[in-house]
Amino acid sequence: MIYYIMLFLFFNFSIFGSNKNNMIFINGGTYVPLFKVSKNEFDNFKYVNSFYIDIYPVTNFDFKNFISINKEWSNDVVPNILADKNYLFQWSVNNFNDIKYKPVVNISWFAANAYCEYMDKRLPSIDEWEYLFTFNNFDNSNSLFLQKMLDWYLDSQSYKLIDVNMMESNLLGIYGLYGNIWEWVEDFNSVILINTDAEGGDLEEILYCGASAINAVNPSDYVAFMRYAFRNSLEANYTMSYLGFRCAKNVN
Amino acid sequence: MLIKFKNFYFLLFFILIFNCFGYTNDSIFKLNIDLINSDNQKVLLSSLNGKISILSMIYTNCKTVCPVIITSMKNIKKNLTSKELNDINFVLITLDPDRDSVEVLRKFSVDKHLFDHWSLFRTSKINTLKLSHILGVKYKKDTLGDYVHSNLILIIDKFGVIRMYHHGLDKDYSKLLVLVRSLI
Repeated sequence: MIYYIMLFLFFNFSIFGSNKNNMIFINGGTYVPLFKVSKNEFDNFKYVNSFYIDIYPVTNFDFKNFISINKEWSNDVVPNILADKNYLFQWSVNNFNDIKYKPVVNISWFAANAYCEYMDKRLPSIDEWEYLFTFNNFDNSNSLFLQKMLDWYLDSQSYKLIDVNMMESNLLGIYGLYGNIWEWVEDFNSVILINTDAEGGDLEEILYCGASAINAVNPSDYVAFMRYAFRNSLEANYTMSYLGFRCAKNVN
Repeated sequence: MLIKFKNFYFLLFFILIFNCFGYTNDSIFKLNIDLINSDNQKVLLSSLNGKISILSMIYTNCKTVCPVIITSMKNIKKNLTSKELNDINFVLITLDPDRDSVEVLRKFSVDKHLFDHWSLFRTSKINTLKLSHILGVKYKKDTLGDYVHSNLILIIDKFGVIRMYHHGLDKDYSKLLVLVRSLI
């Protein structure tokens, strides 16, 4: 009898315990990416499969727990090519208890990816992230909302990071998708703004800017444009004081 | 509002400048991942150490740029003496592990006569992504299942440091050859 109770408890814990309960199921659907793939309007809808997503960005506390087991990711041993010198800088200048439940920032793509892999998850793709973003509380064409977003993207440094559960949530109940941190996506290096295989998609970087506006479905969507420009500027070992992450997971 | 837009362009400018100088002088061999060669043997990425790698990420179904890249790499090889070639590996890694199985890679190397000093590799999807990130290669699957990707040949020294990005369509190999010879 006790055996069954223990088994039940263990089973319960493994389903509802640890990190699983901080994810929600996202039904698949279509969205329109910022950049056109073809002149045909219909082709520009992209279908995103169902997936799970973390409700909160990963916190300093979560990441410290990860490092206590995966010592190769602590800041004194991680090689430069996997995380640059500002990796986890906030831990050295703050009392850890003050930033415990704030999103972990100054984190490289490799470190974020290693965390998700360890949790048996993965980073969300660009499409998944942008799809989530369409479920915000405001109409995307609402100029007040756009202005608010733009203000934040332009000047995120002057906004103070807050605990993840204090962040604003969107219609799906996902906290902090905007207005707090930028987030890593798995395939940030797939932002190739010139869409031609014949040219190999790596013309001088400076050309990206002018050419890309022509390809945008909605050139007035500055906010999305900034996210793409930002991703395009990243390297996988970069760490930044307002760049964090959350994990996703495949269904089944 | 106008001031905001000015800031916006300033930021974009800044991002582009930032982008151009993103470069680390560290060894890519610190990325601990497995590769599978066309003889179906599992090797570590770091097993490329000790030789200069002239490397590109391609996929075998690619009809446009990849054949040009391979031709370029063959031309580079022709310019090197057999003594120099002892210190050099020509490395192709597939961007398309779904379709490029070990058998496909083996057949590809036979069809294209990629034998001495050539190595072809595949790895898992997530490792392909990690590798592309560490090499600074961009790629994106398009709606037809093909890939848009950086058209680049990388020169990596014996210790795993990326020393040069050569544009795949650039037929002038003089700088590249000077660099490669200096690294031997």
